[in-house]
Amino acid sequence: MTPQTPQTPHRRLPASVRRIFRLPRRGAADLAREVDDEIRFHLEMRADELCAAGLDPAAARAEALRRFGDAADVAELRELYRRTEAPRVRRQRASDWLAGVALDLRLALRQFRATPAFTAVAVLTIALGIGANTAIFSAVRQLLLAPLPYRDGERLVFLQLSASNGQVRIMPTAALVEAWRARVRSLEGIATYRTIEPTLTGGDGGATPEPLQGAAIEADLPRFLGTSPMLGRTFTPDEQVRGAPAVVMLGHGLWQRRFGGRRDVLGETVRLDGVPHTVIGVMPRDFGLAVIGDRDARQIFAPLVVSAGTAGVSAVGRLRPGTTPEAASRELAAVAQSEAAPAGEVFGAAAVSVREALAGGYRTSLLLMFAAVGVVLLIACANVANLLLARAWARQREFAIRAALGAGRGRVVRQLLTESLALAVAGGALGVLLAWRGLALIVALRPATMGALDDVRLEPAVLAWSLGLAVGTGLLFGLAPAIFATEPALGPSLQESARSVAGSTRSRRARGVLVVGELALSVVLLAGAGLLVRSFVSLLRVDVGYDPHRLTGVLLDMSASRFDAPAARAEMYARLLDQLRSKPGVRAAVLGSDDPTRIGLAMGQVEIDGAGLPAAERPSLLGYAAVTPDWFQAVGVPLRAGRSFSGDTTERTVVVSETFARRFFPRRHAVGARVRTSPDDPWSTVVGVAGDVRVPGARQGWDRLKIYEPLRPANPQATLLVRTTDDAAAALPALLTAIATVDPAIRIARAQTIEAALAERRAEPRFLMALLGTFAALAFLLAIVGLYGVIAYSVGQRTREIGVRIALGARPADVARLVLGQAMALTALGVALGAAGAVAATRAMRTMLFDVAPGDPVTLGLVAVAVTAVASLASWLPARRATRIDPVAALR
Amino acid sequence: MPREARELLHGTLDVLILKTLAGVPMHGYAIAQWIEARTGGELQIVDAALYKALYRLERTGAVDSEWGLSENNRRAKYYSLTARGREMLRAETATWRQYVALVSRVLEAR
Repeated sequence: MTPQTPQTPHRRLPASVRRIFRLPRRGAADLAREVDDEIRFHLEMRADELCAAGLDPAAARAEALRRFGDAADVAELRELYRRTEAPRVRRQRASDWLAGVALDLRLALRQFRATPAFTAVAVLTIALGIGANTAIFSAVRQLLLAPLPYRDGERLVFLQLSASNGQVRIMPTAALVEAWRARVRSLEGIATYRTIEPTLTGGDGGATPEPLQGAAIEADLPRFLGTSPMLGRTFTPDEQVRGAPAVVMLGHGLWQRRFGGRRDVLGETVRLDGVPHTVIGVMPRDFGLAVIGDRDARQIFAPLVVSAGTAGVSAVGRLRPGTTPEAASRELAAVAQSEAAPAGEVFGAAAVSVREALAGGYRTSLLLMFAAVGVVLLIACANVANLLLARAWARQREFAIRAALGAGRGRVVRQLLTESLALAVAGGALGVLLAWRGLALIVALRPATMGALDDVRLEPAVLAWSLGLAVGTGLLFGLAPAIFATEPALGPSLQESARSVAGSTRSRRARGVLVVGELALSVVLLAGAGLLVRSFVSLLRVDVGYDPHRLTGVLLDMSASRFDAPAARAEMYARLLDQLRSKPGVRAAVLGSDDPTRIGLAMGQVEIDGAGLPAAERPSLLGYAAVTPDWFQAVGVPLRAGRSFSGDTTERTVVVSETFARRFFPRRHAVGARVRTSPDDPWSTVVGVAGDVRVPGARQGWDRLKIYEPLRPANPQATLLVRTTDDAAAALPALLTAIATVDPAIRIARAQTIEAALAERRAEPRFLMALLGTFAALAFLLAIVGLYGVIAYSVGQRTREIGVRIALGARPADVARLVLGQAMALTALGVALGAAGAVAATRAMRTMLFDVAPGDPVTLGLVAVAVTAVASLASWLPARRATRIDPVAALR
Repeated sequence: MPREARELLHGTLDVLILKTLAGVPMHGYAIAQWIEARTGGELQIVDAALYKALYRLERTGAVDSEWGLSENNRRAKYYSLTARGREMLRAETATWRQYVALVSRVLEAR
């Protein structure tokens, strides 16, 4: 009955020793043994006593047993004891676990202190990966996920109307909006506005006119969007009536800039296009953000004067909960067709989610960046996993000793994972710091289209995400080494000679796979970045075809009622040009329909008189511009053949671009031929061929196919181009004042130096290139560090083998070839896989590229050569070390 | 002592153990000996019952146990009274005295 269980040596170890060596404590068996021990002690004491009283030992033992009870009693005791101890065991386990974690952490920190270089590299690697992810995730959240700053913003939709089977976008009239309000059931409400571009004078800027973008809004719009003014009040319905006192609300930016953020601005009088208006309110910063255009742009708000006329408005609606934009679109289209479409015309309508409309422009590029930082993080993980694998093999003996002392495999895995998680969290913390600095940089470089980025913050949600990422990466890069290193075949590890012979092959293979993956991924990123760089370079290199320096474009609007008669407008244009040309500092002043950084696009089907339709030529997009005769000379567009227009604006003449001439007149001179772009138009005679004017970023070459017509000065809008003798930006204010002095009723819709306009067109590509370039460089750096680590470690591992080779007569060149061969095999595989991946992956970038195709062989080739070159450099160092191995030392 | 009395006392083993431990911590065997000595060997406890009682008391928190070395240098588990056990002993003793007084009064009534 005396319970005697065979005992393994470690079972006898006291708890404190078990703790130190991470051995298991008190399980069910231990509890049973404790009961048995207690009973055994009792029986022995009793027997001793009976012996002392004169019984022989055998009889004494029998009597002791009899007095104790029977087997059922023992079983009952064990059960009772188990129940008694259960809570204590649980508590013990919990506190053991915590103590274990604390101890693991202490051990981890000791490891880190003992290997500062390893720790620094690992933490920095993770920090770079997580930092890049945190920054980009913040931006993605802000631009694609953050709630719109409007009440129920997710349900807001733009109401778009189109005619001619969706070919032509038209503005709904106020009457149609009324019909929509009355009959479209899937919309909760509709508010309207119209964009305006007034010229402002007054405020702290005094008489200096400032062209502004703004909106005439329905009195109800702020309430509809759930926004209230930060100062003053919004409009009342009374103020929407023609003849009401003229009032205006300022946007936050304008208020800050031109009114010094003064709170006493209310009641002040400003002039819009010369007409006095009273300031009644200031709207908050993000009011102008989404629905009525970019916050930087929409800065002034006037009441929308509703007229029964046909003038169109922009409309924004809110979907009823549970309805879809598609259902709303169908209803909108049906009402539009029955209410507004003229006979024979088919009207279409669409409810387009405001969020979709806003994010559409940059969704692809943002998601691409997101993918890129994900790849960077993967590479970082692979690198750290590599480091850990190498180190885990170096620590085999430590694990073997622990196992011999009875530590379970799970226990050792846990300790290794604690180390990885500690590394990951430290890296994550540093990464968040990097992201914080990085975001400031991203905001500073952001293109105008991503204005919402200004409000980006490292919010708690983002930090939680980064923490999750850190833990996830910690598990990702920690698990494999932990499992590899604690493979059960530990017995031989204790024997020095057997160490890491069988294991090293597997380890080396695992590390090789990781490095090949890293190289391949970095090749994909480098290829993507390379394509963006090439795009950007071609964007910069694009010969715009004219001289953009000291040139300014001013969009004039003569739609004020004083210029109603075409003759009055023509007279005004002429007077303006005369006066400007006489100003000092002005070398030339001409008029055109657009400035040369913009393409006026028109659908056209080019016909040549006498030649019929050019073969297989479908209607295509053509660049179109109307210019004054001296435009070409002033802007600096050379005339390759023929002449410019005569001053007679009634004659049907055109100037075509060089590419146009080559394309449509491949075998003859264009000058003298007659062309038209629509069967309904009269023929026009080509009088000249001008050099191509390129618009950077224009895709499919629309900008090269261009037709110029004589500018008929009756146009209410025209772009004034002024060539100054000094810097254009510096001359701009004086130029605007000069225009205002000619006639304050001339509205300046836009004023920008041509160089600034060009820079704006390059801002987004430059931004994307800088971002992806940075990430690709990071990825490449990490991959090369990884390759170096693997090769250097492998040389360290093969010291003995290389020593033998040298002792047997291998020359340094043979040894170097051995090491470099391994490195080059990995590199070649990585580059090949990466190139294949790049061909597939860069297809997603098609819309971001300019003058270069996805999978461009030149870019891929350059990347492959660069990666191979740097990789050989990185492996040359360990190779050189291998050649200097002293065979005597290596074999000792 | 008649056999019936022994059975009766069986149910009051808990309070005897508590009383025994009121002085110094003891191991199970010592507790048994102490009780037997106090009753002049008249009261023999089934040893298993003693340990069952001890485990029960430990579970209710009246006693605590700890492994230690016995007087002859063997590993033994020592039981000691907790504050709660002391409180229980006081209450049980009072109840017991009251019970004895009541039963006596009835038995001695004429």
